[in-house]
Amino acid sequence: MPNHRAVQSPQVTDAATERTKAIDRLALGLAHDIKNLLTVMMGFAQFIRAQRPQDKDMLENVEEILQAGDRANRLVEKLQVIGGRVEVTPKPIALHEVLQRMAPMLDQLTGEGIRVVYQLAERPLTVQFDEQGLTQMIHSLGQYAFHVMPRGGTMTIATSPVTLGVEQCRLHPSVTVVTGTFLSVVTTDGGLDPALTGRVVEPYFMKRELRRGSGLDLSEVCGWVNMNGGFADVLAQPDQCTTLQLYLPGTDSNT
Amino acid sequence: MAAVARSRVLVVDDEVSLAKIMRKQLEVSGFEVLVASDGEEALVKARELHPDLMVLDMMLPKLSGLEVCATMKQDAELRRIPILMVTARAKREDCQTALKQGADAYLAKPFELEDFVENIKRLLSKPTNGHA
Repeated sequence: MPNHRAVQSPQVTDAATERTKAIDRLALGLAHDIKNLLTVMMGFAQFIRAQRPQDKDMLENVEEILQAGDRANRLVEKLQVIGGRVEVTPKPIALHEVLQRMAPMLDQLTGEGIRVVYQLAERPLTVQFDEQGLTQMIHSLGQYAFHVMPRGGTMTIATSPVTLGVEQCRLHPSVTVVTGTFLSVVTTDGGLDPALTGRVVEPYFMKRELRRGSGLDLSEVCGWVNMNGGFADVLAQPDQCTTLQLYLPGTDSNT
Repeated sequence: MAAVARSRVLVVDDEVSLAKIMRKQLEVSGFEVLVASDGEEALVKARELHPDLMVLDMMLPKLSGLEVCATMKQDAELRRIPILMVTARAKREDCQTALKQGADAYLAKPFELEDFVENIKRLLSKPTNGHA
């Protein structure tokens, strides 16, 4: 039986809550300060580019600076999502349409060694989610799959409608809409020690402790899910695969 | 268009290098540029030097950008100065707060220098009526 551990269940200790808040404050403070510095770096690079348009070698070097700056900015935006400080505008979205539209991008992100398989529910499913957030979340899921399966494997994306039960509502009291969709992502990454499932969404935990993963992708996914009223669970089968199960609220308000 | 190019812009940011690149870009674009590094200095310079526009960082020492903005909009003399608020904060509600406090426009960091100058030119081309 896979070990089931709710990673978004409420903190049961005051110390754990305070630690989480402290980490959020750190992430947000860093994000703010780094954005200031990025503005300086990218601003001067843009200034040089405008002043020396005829110097092709210089322009090539300046473009490297600007592209690195863009990647750094993207990382910082992930920090802001993880800290829960991004404004979201949930609206009804046809989930399968988004997945189908993003399928070519996911194939490209995961690379040739990873097969992406879809097991979508028979009927169309509508979720109440921030549109940009959903796109970025799926993008980060693709990056996560690429990093946890460096030798290749299979990423299975499945959807199913769900009405949360009493136990699930108890584990996730912040959820107010009980009818929604499970978006499950299974990666054949060799599985995970069940004792660690509660930690896989911690920033940089997988990269640092397990030497796989990119560091922030799962944290960002959980950030988006939480901000949109859902939750994430991790189910691990040692030596086999890992399942990330995301609950995305539906459009009915039925508590 | 000649009047816009010679306009006086007061840049307020406590990040020295950031104020420097904003100043350089604005000077190349034909503006006269003044700089302040905290909220109190911003108000002093606004009263003494009468800029045509203020670029105002939201997070400032002594007085925050929002406090400076609110003070200026309540002042009969200063309220005519359009304010472009710049910030590294992520929440859309920060933008709404800035606009409610009287900022005329809002730009998130990091921004393109081209967008920065375009925003300033656009604000300066609007008629000033003293109201946000």
